[in-house]
Amino acid sequence: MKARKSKDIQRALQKQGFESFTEKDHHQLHYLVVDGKKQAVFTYVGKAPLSPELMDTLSGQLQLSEEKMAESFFSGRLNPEKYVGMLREKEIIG
Amino acid sequence: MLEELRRIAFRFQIDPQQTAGHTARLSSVITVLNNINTSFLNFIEIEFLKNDKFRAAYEKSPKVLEGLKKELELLVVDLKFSSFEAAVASNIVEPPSLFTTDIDDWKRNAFSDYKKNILFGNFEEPQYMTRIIEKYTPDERSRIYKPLFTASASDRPFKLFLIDPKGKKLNLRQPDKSFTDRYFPKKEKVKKEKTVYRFAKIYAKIGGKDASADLSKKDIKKVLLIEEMEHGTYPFNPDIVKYDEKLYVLHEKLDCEVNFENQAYVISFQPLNLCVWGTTREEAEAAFSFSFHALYQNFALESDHALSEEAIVLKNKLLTIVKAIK
Repeated sequence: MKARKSKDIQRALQKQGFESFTEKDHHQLHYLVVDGKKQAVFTYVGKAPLSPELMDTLSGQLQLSEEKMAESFFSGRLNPEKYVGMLREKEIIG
Repeated sequence: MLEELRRIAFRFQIDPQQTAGHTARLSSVITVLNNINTSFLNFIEIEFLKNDKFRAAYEKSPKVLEGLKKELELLVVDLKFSSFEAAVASNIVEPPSLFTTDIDDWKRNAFSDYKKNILFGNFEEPQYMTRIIEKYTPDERSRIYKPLFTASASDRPFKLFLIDPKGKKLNLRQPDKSFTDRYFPKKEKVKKEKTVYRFAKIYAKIGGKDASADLSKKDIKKVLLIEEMEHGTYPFNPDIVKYDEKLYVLHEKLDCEVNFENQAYVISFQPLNLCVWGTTREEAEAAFSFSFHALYQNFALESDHALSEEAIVLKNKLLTIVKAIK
């Protein structure tokens, strides 16, 4: 998976229905909200760009096991419903 | 003898510029006398040690130089009130015979050398400067000339004159900066190399009661084995998590995994599916503290109806892990 900037990842997460929590510094925690409920799907994002290896780690956090889907997710092309559908299918969310 | 000393002495005059009747301040007199004395004694020491034979004598008995300095100490051999005028000389007229003939001969010349070549030197003349720069190291020049130049700096409240044997007054003044920079070149700053720390696993035989408590050097009886690590991937097992003003005290230590992947430290704690990273170990630990705090604030403190079933499981795990918040 290709390296990406932190800003691009934040934008992609927001598009997929993730809310972010941050306090005084650059650290961010993004968690998924579906139908107004917080889900146990979350990830950390810092300020530094993410290397291909860290993109794999991040994909693992977001349960994106298929590389194709992960690429669509981070490039902002993935339909949010499709992502939630995948998580439901894997019984990661109810 | 005093007449002879007055004959060979060098004379100088302090001419104050801002006092009533050009009377000399005591502090000005002290400064000039002290600086000339320092310059002269440094000259004696430097010249003495440039002589291989004398240096060998000095290495055998360092006291020889101290004795010599004492004997050559400048004496005030005449005074005039004219502002403040003094004649100063070393007592080389009646040399005591404590030293060898060689040293005694050298001693007799040292004072006149200083007078002629240092004190009455033409500090700004190129040939003079070249000769001095070749003869003395920067440190030696600094020790001989700095006291003289400092005593005659332009910001002093007096003028300093040397009086030659014919009674002619020569203004002794600090040369311009372009010249003093050549006398005293700035030392190049040696940049300290930044210490690059490495990591190692150390197995040791230790004393003391509790190895988990702070171990002092004296508790280490013997280092048994040192294994150098490629990166700082030593275990991360916090029993407290501190983020900003919040301190989470845990029931037990968290068993975290630490890896180094493509220039980044990655810390993960599987039971919470928590994974963070940073370019340094410290950054990764800070990211961990933040994420733990963020999870607690957003899940453990959240009401159940705002959480999915899986999120409630996460909430309960967090509540189980944390013993107290301070």
